[in-house]
Amino acid sequence: MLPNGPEAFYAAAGKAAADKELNRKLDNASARHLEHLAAAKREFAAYESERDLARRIKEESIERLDRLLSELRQRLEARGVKVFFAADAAGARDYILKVAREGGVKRVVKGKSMTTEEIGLNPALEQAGIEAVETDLGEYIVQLRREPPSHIITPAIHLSSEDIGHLFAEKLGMDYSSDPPALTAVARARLRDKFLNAEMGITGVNFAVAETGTLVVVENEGNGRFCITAPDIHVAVMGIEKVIPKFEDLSHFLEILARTATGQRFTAYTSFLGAPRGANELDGPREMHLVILDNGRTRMLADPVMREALYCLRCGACLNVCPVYRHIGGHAYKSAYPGPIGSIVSPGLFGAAAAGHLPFASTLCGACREICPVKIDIPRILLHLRWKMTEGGEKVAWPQAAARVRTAARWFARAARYPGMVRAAGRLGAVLLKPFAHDGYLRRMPGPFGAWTRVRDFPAPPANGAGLADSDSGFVTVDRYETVMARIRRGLAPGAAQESANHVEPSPPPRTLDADELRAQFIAAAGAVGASVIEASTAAAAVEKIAAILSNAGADSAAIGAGITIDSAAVTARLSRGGCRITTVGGPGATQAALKESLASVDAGIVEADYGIASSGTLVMVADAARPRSLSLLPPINIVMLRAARILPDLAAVLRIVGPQAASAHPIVMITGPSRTADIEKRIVIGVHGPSQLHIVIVWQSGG
Amino acid sequence: MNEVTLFATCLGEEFFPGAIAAARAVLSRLGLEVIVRREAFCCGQAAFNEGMRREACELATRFLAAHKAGTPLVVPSGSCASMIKVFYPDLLAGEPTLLEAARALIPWVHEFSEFLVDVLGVADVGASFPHAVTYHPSCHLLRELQVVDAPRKLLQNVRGLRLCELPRSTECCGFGGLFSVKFPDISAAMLADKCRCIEQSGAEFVVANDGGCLMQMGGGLHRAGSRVRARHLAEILARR
Repeated sequence: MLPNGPEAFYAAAGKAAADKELNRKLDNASARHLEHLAAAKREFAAYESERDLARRIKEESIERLDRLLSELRQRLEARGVKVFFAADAAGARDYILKVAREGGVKRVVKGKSMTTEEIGLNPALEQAGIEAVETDLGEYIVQLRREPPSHIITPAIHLSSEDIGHLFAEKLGMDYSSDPPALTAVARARLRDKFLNAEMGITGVNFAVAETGTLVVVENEGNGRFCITAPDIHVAVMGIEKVIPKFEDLSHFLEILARTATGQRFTAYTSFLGAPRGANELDGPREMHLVILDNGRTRMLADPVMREALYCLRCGACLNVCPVYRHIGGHAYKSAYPGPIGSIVSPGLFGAAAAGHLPFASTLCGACREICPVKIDIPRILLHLRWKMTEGGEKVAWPQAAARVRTAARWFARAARYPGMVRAAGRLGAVLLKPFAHDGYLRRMPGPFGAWTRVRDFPAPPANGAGLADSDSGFVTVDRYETVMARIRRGLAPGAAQESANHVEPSPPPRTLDADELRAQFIAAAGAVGASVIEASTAAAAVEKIAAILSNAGADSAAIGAGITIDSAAVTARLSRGGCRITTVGGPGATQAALKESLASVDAGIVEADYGIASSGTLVMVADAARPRSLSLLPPINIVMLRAARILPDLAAVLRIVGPQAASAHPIVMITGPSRTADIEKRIVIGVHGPSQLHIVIVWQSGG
Repeated sequence: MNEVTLFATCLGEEFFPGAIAAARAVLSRLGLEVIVRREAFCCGQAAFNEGMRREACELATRFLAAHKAGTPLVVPSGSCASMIKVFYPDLLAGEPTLLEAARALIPWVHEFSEFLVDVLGVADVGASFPHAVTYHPSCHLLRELQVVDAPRKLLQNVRGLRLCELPRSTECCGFGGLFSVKFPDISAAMLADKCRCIEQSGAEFVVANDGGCLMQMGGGLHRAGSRVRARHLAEILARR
């Protein structure tokens, strides 16, 4: 959806502002988000310093944007990724359509991507006869309603669970239910088939690392992983601003992005990819494309004030705190990017005539800047844009009423150069208005003030002079506080009250934890995100634990990755004894067809993680031929073995170790808890497209 | 030398002269000689916020001619104070002489409550006001100037005053200068929320340090038939 001038905005915003129900839904969702965020900040002491570091990296990245993009392109192309730079929306759309045509694509599954909303990709695909299926739960819901998302990360924030229940009953023929888990289960069932029978997956990109040529996709439901794993063609679409220099820089962004966006430590899934499927791999796209989009971004880059808007991580937090957004919702903006961030990027992306009014639709309250993880000075950019739209040669077609207010403001500003004159006029006005005042207020005012009294009373200017008489009439001037005189002299020194603003102390480095403490921390963190964790002293004991998990879950069948470091034949033998049908996937001679076949209906996937992250309970898995990506994605139960010695303290430590593997384009996934969503009323539902159960078996003993 | 300049502000002069007189009284009682310079009427904020920087620059020129570094300048409005302290450097970036004058003046500019508490070190001005009062932190005061505690400290030390918690206090009242008349529907929806929260606080008076918020909240409460009145902080501090 593209903005189309102030008239349409006025109509939609006026209607939405009067919609009490919409306001209630947005207030509830925002309140929930802010609670989660506050809790996330409380438990992460380094939040503020990480924010500053993330901002600094964005600043540096944008300053070196040309070099970083060319480095990224070079690395990706060397591995067979097709990189396409699009100057505008049409260019990006056309390229994607061409790839789809050449690949004989009939169905596209889409991960959540605002950039594809920006370029209007879905209508273009549909026009070309290609089915485009939105797979993020919120996006799926709004697509069923044939409307655009109303929020950057919570697309269906304007709908209640009842609204969604009625929608599913009508469009999907299910019995009415307003229960978020029940609604989520329906979406899971409907979309599984689409994932496995789509020729192309399209996703956005959260970060692109130049140094290693890595694209990072962050999500919770597992739908993003499906889009980049199941179809034969993967197309990633990103704005030019998404590139950052180094792999290790990611830690600063990943530590703050989920916390700010949803209050999570990490999202359930963070995928790292940089190449089409490797020679021996059994899953992943055979063909990979990256579309890098300008579409007005270089205009923003050229303006030193606007440039900062390119630091945005698209976390959506500024929408939730914006009092304007919370009263009019996302649709009124008529832009893929609503809310404060939308009001600063939309004029750059869609032009002044379409979106130049948006920077004015703000009270400049600054709540957005306060919450922004990279501290974008949104109010300052709004002011800058207002100036450009007024004196900078770009024009907004204001409706008559707004134009009259602006004219009055201009005349007031001109008159105010002559204080004596305005004061006299003010006194005259006060005298004239006096007869109409009741209790110090006026119910109706003429001219441009009419818009004021339409909705509230106007304070009657006091008629008895401008109040600057030298007497303190009405007040008794008595005792002086002699004692404060000394303080006055000290206090009057310029700058005395000015210090300490904005200085952030770097947080002290965390104490080094020993192996037991790391394990305990991992167990607590993984438990907090809904994973079950069991410890085993030996590999043999671990196999017993896995057998118990399978039997407790009532699993009849399981697939095990050949890459597991316990003798897989022994595991298979033991588990089969428990009555479970076990298949080994990814062994010598394995084929994609066999993998698909084995994973289509198994209850559980058994894999081994390469590393664990103690601070967040995250599992890190590097995929290869013996450890296919689908194994931890398709089966509803995921059992992951983790060697205790492989538990590292934090994300930064893991990124240092897996950096070289990312550089050689091994696909990596970080898993934090079972798949989840909060797309219905911001209520957390466990189990969407990825596994609904995550069991972690920690093995103390090293070696086989 | 214990002289301070008080900037009356355009909204103060036209709509809240009582608040200006009160600010003046409070400062006088602390032994300060209070001067009001009548050569400047408006800091230019409304024009600046609307993108009319030519007009705003003219007003800033007048303002800077009237107010010089060397004497503390007390501003009884969070948004006017932030206009001078935060936005003048942006506005005047292309005018080296004016920019220099602004830079010299800025360290001397203080919002009213911040001046009392942080500069003078006075949290108790000897006021008495036996009523239930709630405090609305104006956005510019809070987020441009980071003045958070000073107004509350001053109110807490007023004899007989019961300070009521304002739900969702840091949410904007919906004024936003010309926003209030250019987007009256959105502004009214925001105001309705604010008025509801003020009623919930149980206060008889809502206090703010900004003429714009006072116009908005006062007008909204009055239209809704509420008994709650909007007052400037100085009007409370001047009562004995």
